[in-house]
Amino acid sequence: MSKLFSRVLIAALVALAILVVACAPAPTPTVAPTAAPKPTEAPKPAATTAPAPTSAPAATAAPKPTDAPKPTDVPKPTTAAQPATPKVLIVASGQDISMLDPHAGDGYSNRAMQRNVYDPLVRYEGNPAKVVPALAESWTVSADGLEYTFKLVKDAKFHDGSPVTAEAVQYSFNRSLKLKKGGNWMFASAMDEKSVTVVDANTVKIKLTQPFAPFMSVLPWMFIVNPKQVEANKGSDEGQTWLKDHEAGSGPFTIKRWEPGNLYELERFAGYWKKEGAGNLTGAIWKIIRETSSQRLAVQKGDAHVAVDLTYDDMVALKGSPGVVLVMEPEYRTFSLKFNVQSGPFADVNLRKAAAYAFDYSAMLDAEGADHAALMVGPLPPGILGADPKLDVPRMDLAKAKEYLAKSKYPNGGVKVSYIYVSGLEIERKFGLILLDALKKLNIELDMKQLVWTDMVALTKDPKTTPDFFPVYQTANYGDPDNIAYPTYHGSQNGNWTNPTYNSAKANEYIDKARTATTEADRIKAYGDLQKQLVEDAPDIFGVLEKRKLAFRDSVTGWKFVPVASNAIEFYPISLK
Amino acid sequence: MTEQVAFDMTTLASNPLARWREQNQSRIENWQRGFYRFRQSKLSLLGLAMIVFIFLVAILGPYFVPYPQDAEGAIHLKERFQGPSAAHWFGTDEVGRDILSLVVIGSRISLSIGVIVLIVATTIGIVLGALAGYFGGLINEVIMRFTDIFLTVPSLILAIAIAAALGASIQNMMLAIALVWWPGYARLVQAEVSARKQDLYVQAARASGASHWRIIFTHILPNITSPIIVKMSLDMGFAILTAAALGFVGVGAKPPTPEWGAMFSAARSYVPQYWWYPIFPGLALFITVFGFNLLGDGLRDVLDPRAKR
Amino acid sequence: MASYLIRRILFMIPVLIGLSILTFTISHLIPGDPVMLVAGPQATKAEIASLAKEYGLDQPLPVQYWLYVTGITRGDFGRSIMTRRQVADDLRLFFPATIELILASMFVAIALGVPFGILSAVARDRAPDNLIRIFSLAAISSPRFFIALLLQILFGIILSVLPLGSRFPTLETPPPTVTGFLSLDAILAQNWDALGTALKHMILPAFALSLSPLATITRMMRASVLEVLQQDYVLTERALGLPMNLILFKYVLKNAFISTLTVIGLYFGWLLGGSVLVETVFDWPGIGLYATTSIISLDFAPIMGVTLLIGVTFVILNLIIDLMYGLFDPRIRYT
Repeated sequence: MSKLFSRVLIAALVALAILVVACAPAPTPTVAPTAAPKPTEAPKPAATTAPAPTSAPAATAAPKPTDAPKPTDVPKPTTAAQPATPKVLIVASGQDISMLDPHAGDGYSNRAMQRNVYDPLVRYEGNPAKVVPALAESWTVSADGLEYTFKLVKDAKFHDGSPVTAEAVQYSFNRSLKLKKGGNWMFASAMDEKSVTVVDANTVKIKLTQPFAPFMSVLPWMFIVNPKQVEANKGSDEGQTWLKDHEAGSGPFTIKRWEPGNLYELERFAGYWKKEGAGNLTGAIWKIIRETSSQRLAVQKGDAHVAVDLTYDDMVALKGSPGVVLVMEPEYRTFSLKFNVQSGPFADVNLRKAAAYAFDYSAMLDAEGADHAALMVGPLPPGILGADPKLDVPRMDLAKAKEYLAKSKYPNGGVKVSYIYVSGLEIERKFGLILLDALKKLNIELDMKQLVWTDMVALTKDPKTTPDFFPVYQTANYGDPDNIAYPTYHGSQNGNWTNPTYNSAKANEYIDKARTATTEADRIKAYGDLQKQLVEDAPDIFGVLEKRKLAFRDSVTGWKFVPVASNAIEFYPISLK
Repeated sequence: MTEQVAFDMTTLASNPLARWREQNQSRIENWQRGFYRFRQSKLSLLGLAMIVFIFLVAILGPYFVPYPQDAEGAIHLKERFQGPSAAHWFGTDEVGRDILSLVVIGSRISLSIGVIVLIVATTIGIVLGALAGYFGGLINEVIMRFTDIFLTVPSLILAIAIAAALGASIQNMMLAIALVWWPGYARLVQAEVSARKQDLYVQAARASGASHWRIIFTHILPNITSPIIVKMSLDMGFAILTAAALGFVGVGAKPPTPEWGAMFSAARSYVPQYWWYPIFPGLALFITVFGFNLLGDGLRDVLDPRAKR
Repeated sequence: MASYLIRRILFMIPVLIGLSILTFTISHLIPGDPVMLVAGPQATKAEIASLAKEYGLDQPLPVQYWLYVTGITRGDFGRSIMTRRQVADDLRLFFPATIELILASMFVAIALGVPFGILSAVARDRAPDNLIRIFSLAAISSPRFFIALLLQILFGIILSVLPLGSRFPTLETPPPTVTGFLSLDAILAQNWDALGTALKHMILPAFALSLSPLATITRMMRASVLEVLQQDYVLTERALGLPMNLILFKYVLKNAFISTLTVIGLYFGWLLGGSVLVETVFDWPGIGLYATTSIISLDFAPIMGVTLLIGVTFVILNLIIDLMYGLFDPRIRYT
């Protein structure tokens, strides 16, 4: 019998050994071109008093199978410098960090990480949001509104210890203008590669090529990168490959763990240039929890401190949960269903109107929680400069819908149209079901399909691949109507998710006029014309205006609601009890 | 003596049934014994009752459900998430649809997926398996190695991969499952056919000049129907489970089709508050598969004497 | 033995080639431009063109297949759109989690299935036997995602005694990675708290996944115990008054190992497939969850990578199991 058991044991060990060998990484990683040269990977530890690194990291770093060399795989300065108990904030989000590169990635999750590892010149604070100093401690604007001069703080340092200089600011703007990605559209029309000039090490001047009223409001999304690190890892794509999961910033946090699809952990950068207003966080984790209901449970059980993608149903379920604080605040966050106006049946304006009149708006409002949302009464959110509250927008009216249907090329319906929504985003699935029911009354079939957001974005590159209905939540990056009007309705933005297909000469003209107008009255006039044009052209089904819904554990303090991208949470001021 | 023979001859000629009985004496006895065994097993009878009930629900149910339009996508947001009540026995879902109606109409979808998948898979499997088993040699090698490759990858993974590549729809899902399901039948049929190939009656048929085709279809296949039927009855439940798994993963039915797996997947977001939403499709799925497994277990005892325990 | 091994390994080659053709074919069924899929949403036209060249997607199909296979042999499974990393790296990260879960569920299945089977056989046709048989049929019939959700609701939400999902608490630092199996790593690091935490996270998913093999092991044990008990020598020994327990121990256990091995062989692939569903419900970061999240984004490189990996694992495992039969059954000789 003992012989048998020893055989079992040996056999089990053999099996295990084979499995381990199969799973374990080869001792010398052969992943070649993307792995950056070792010496530059690691920002040097800022805490200079740290004891000499022990051999400890060798044990942990070696077996890690990932190719992405993590900055923190290198010797950590010391644990003694940190408070006794680590305070790590966990944010539950359904959206991955697909592109940390501040000049290529947008979407709130990328923005959240960028905000915390990079610094912009100015940032938002307060409700309503105001622009306040960040890397720029002060600035002046010329009388014609074309020339901006920024004074940079003197002691700001990148994570590798090199100072944040005017050259770095210039490098960052020019890199963004070269890449033409991410948030570039916000200022691209008013800048070129000669716009940014270095006055001295701490002074930078930006000369706009044409007036651009909301310039200061877009700057919080322009992050400054460390030219030294980017150049060292430039590759053939301006460092985009490297920067997608590495950082070259000066922000209050640095990367600790990077596990795509699972979690992204940041830790506080000890040498951050600013001290005032800091919370006690030692780090923060962006945890991917795709289903909103799971996010809700995580906050309820205390597995996460913040959930950022909750639905109205989740908020109702959470009400009264001990230790949970709910935040429901109005933010310029709109939902609309965009038609593909170039390709497919909805190139026909009458069919678009038929669909818009068949849609059940009150059901949509019910799905959002009628007492916490409002229907949109036009393309611009109410309250924003120039928004016209008295537009004749479609409401459910089957007779009218059939009238438009009869005028269209499809008087009896009989077409199949597509609706693609974000997987896991329950509310968009519900809107799809509402739409499906509405279109059935016109004998139009709806083909619902889910995709992850990045793939949906890919589809909008070409009108041929753009779905007939494209649902979009849009949050104002800055509190100016241009932030909605330009990306959403300007023809130059075709091929972007914000406006895949709509291109009208008249609308373009109104938007440009409003963008460059110098008096408020002129801008209001231009936006008024624009809105009438949009109701006429019906490029969207104007949906709902939704409140921001967040849930926090009551142990989180120091966070203040700012109605601009409040789900891209800034960790700096937050403390944990 | 001669009289007797003559008598027999006339009855045989005039009564084909008796003649058939005579010729299939042992088979009939096997069936009778099997049927007796089947009736002895309470669990098999329970399984049969469950399956009959489920088929009745699938066939007749849709005419009796209270809100048939809900299965086509009608929504009533004002009535969403109502618990089980007299108006909605199984409650309502996130857009106010009646879950009872969806589950009942969904039974049609699940059952037809199971049936169609099995028919397609068995057909492919029988044809390839019979070719391989009958002709042997190179044909056998090629077909069976091809089969092995499909058996290398777990069927669920392969079905998911194929269905994902084809795009989500019920038809593609059925095709994907059928494509991963046939190798089991090919193996079974190949083994049976190559075993029967040397049997006396096959040899005799060949000697009398019957074509290959005729030998396979009229002499060999009818003799191996039992193991195929047993396998089909055992597989039915698993085919339905696999379809539900595909729906759950999101490569199956599209909204508003009330497929159980897809319903369950949507409902998962709403536990524990709205427990009725996932529970009823889940239970329906469980009961259906359980019924088929009970029945299949009983049939195996009946039809497959070698598997007798 | 050696020549048998060589023959077995040689036999694997056509199977593996066939498998690669299969995955290659599936990935070419995808509608849409594969280059766009590889390049991802943020790619420029120039990038797309250079990627098409790099991946050889502008070449004729046989050439593409050749590039694909040579890529695989170099460990290049393509790049994931979702994680933006090499699929091979992702697989290395996620595969140990899946294997750990499967081994755990195998352990549960054996630990419960063997005694259940013996009990069922010894109490043949009496209440415990009937109960166990119904239970095992029910276990096979229940959709894994349904059971998983029920377990989650009961133990994770209502009783709140076990974690809802994931493999390790987000906040705590896992033990240093050596094997990739958290529990083993915790033991190696002698971090007993971490071991407890890791095991706690494993209980529900392992149990949900174990139901089918558990039922099969129970049935096989029942059958083999019944067979043993009918043997002449056992009847003799019983007549001689040897205690039943000793008889069971003496004759049944060996059979138990052989039938368990068979089940492992049969079920390993099945469990790899089943893990897709259970990992999705329990948010277990293995290749199953990796596959389902990739499916939603139509991210095909990972799906094909997972399919290939599972196929290869399955082929190798079956070889190991065949070899292990010899260790237990002296009648089997490899010549």
